[in-house]
Amino acid sequence: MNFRNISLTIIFSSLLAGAAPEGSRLPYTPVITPNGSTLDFTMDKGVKVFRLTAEVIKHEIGPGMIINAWGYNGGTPGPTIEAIEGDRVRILVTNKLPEPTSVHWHGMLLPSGMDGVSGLSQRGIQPGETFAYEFTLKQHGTLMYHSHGDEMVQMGMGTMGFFIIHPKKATHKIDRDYALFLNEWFIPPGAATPNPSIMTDFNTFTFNSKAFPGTAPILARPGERIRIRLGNVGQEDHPIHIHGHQFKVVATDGGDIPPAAQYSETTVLVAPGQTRDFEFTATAGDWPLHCHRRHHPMNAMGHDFPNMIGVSQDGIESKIRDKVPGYMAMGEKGMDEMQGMGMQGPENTLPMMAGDGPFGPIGMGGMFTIVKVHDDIPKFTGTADYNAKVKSPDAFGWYKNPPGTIADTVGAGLSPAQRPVPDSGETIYTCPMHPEVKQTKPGNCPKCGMKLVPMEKEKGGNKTHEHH
Amino acid sequence: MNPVKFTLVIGLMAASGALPDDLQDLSERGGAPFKPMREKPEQLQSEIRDRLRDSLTLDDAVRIAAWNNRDIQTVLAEMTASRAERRIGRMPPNPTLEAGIRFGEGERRADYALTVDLSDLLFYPLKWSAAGAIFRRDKMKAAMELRGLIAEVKTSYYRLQAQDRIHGLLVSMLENAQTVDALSERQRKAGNISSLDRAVQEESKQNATLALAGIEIELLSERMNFARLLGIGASETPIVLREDSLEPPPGDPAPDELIRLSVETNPEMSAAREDIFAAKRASTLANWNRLPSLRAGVALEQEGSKSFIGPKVDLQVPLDFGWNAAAKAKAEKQAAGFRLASIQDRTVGDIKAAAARLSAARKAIRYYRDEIIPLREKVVEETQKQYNFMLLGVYQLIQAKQNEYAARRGLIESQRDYWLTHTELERISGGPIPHSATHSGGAQ
Repeated sequence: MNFRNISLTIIFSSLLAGAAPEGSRLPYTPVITPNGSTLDFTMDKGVKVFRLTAEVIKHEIGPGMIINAWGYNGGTPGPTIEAIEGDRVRILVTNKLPEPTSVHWHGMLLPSGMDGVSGLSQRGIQPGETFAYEFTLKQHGTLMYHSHGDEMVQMGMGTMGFFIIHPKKATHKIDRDYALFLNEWFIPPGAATPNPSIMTDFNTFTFNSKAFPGTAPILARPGERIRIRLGNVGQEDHPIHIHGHQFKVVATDGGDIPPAAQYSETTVLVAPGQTRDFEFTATAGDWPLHCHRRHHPMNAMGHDFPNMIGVSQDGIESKIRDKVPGYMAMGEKGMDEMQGMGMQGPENTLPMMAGDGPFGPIGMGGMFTIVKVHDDIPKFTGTADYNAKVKSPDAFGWYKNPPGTIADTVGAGLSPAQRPVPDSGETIYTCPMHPEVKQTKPGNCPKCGMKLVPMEKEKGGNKTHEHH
Repeated sequence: MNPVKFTLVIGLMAASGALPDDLQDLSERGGAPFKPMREKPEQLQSEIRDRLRDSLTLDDAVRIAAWNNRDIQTVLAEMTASRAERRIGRMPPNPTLEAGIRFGEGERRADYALTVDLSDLLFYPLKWSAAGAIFRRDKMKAAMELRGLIAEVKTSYYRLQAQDRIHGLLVSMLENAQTVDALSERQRKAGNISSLDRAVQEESKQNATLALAGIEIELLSERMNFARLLGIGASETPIVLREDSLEPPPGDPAPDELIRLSVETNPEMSAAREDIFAAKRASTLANWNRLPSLRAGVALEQEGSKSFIGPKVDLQVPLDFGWNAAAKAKAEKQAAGFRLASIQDRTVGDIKAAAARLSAARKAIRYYRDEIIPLREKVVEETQKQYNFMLLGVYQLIQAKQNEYAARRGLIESQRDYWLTHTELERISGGPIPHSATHSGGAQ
């Protein structure tokens, strides 16, 4: 029997609200874990009982890219555990991994024997065994849980999750409460299993184990009070930056920060082992939230890729293509041109830059998500509802900018690239490498000699067909 | 055979004095349809030029060499001399006519005698038989030399074929290296790479240039050798080889089969057997020659008007009864026997070793063709995909292509090694390898 919603408080709330949504029946605003889930519990003589199973899983880290990960209850990060300060909790951990494990309750004030360090505070949980951890929650805040047996491997494979302890009494109302786990991986291009031995040379950076454009957006309505909780048990620190807002860091994994000690900022650095909660009032728009390390909001890229900035390949590209027919020169004018070329990459690998927005390619990846603050976004009705409806960046459409508030070519409406091609019924041919080349007849690109491809007609413009 | 050629061949045979069956035998044993010539008829040169105008097949090359190679013509001339020697050996002993005239006392006296060496007459069949064996031995030796020359022609042809193809690959590799060099030069000018990185790429181009120069020298040298073997001047006509497949046949003969074939047809072994036969005859002859030489005939004496006629006998009074000559002949007979055994041992060993190399070359071909090249192609394909996602760079992509070319070179070299070994095996085993009796050896 599921007792998740039947604490006395909840029953009381339910009686008052009838069939009110989840958010209104709980004594706190439930935490949304984008692309993740929240763990159910049962009650056993006043103890909240949670069940975690550490296991080998298949995880889609981005669109079409499936990795062999280790996680909890079928996911990475594991389901978010939520409880209230003062609760007695029992967490039953079953090990279905191929090696012993244990679970450390990161930042938790608890008896030493419940700290979950293999060999130090307990014996390791052998494969097939179930251990019980039981303690009383003496604090509130954003805490974490993660493996502490062979932790380099097990955390490197994805065994971590949030443990959110709500205060008995909230000091102020939060309209939406999100949790994002920061992590980095090394997954060899074309492979599926993260290499946990890598120490510094990571190539995949994730929010809740999802790389953009696999990250579900953060939703809000203008004026809503939003909290975002960040946790990091990875190898690197991450300066998380939000556009269009100032926020205040209101709590760390050590507890609340007194208001007098809070200050406005737009970027918060989260080091390995830390959590940070920040709050802001949502302003209408579509706003990026991303790690500000330049390579982190990108997907895999080879560090040995030669620097071709400013290097013309005229006359060279065709010679290479004689020997390697699929070759296309890249990098002379930066890497932006890679987007939309639709070239085939290695299997099970995300392109370095991806995602389409209302004005074209977004060209991001990795630790990047979008905070969507729209008037027409429904009020928060619960985590289950969010998880069902919000899966990809284009969920709930794009912000409709008021007239005159979009940057554009000086003195003109749309830039030449954005200008729709008049629909004369003719097929327009363009170069996959040089989109500025457009003509009404098939042929070869005058710049690189590539065969021109027909443009796909769509509202407000044209789009190049993907080609391989 | 067209009438002109047929007439030509017959005419040449007649001119050379070769018997048609001898020529046929030598052709078969020598492994080439050669034409003995005392001088080069214009028609033949014209036909050779015609053949050289088209791309040349291996059969064409062997045929032209058989017709035109100076060494082959030398061997054929020597064969003619050997045949004449055999005829000399086959002639019965000449009788001796003795005549004498004396004057005195107003008279004239004349003596006449006609005698024949009875020993020579008695041993004539033995000498005749030994001369035949020596001729056959010489013919086998000639066939062996011809096989050697034909093997040289084939070896040169296969080398040229392989070098020509490797040359094509090295040209492509140099083009790639030049492209990379040009790209890195532009990178350097744009300020994107250090002079060290630039030098590394430039060195790659120089290495590729050197590799191409090396193969060009080998190619030139082999072309000159090939032209010499064909009996034509290197600059007379440019030789273009037909682009035949270098793939081996489905299977190779078992070494035991080749050894059996060699015992039957190897000219060197046949020559050694003829040597033994001739030595036996010589030994028998030497034994008989221990008897004193006997000449017999008729003598006529005229004295004035009188004539006297009667038998005449000359008997050698021996001081040496031919012991030493008999011992020498016996030793030579033994040496001929040992020589044959030695040739057999060497041939068996050589056949087994060459068959093992042939099998190894076949395995290398299969390995390159079915494993390495597809893998290198896959590496290029996958590198291309990673290049598309900027995971690997253009230099790595081109290096992957260079590695694919290197694998293709490995295949060509393995194919060349296969055919060189095949040619050697033909030469050792003494005849064309019967691929109908082949086995794959598990390396197909």
